[in-house]
Amino acid sequence: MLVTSDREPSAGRLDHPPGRAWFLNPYLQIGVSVLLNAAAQILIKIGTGHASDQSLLSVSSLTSGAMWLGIVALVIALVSWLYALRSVPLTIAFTLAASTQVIVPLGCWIFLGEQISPLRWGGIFLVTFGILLVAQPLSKVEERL
Amino acid sequence: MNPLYFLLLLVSNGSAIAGQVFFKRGMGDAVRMSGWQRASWVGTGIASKALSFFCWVLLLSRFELSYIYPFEALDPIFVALAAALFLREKLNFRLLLGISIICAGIAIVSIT
Repeated sequence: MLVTSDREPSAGRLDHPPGRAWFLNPYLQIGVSVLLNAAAQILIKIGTGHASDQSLLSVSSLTSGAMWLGIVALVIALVSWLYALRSVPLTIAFTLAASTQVIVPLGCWIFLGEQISPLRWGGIFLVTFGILLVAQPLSKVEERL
Repeated sequence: MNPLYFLLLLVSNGSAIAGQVFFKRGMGDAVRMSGWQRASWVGTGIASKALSFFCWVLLLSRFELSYIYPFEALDPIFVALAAALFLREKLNFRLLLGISIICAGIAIVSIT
């Protein structure tokens, strides 16, 4: 899905100027956003675990470092996401972002040694298959842009 | 789960989906608008996402992640419908089939 830099710019807005830096590819930025969101989920869960009170907004969880790291990750993920949305339709971007649902369990399996049941492997396979189904025509769209 | 928490879950998911639509409205080039108009759409999106985030943190502090996660499984379908309705994005059969398979997969991953 990486874009070649030698094609003609489109007639409309120059979202894809030739020779732009490779990290400005909107699909790569969706990937960055997804990875940071997945990390933030885990950090925020760790952060809420620190909460000692049961008040309505769990204010005490804001004293946790993991919570703040999670929030920083969310902010950077948001910037990447907004950049990607300049050129990628929301439906496509959000569907590709569903890969978070695969990355989090796989990350727990690889890094935390958690077990994945056969049924869950089936679910991971389904999500991956659905994403490939949506993503496959995109390579053709990219060529036209 | 009592009705209050269920409502919280609806607010959390609904405002997250609305936030995505606001973001795309502000960042996309479907409508010509000034920088301030774009910033206010994105700002509204951030406010929606912040509301969603606080509801989510509140839920996370009460329930296991694996218990509340399945409720997000249908989000891709709702986002696609909202984008078609409010942003005039085109849906095709392949896209809807892919999204349905993804939703089924997310549901399976999150309940197992």
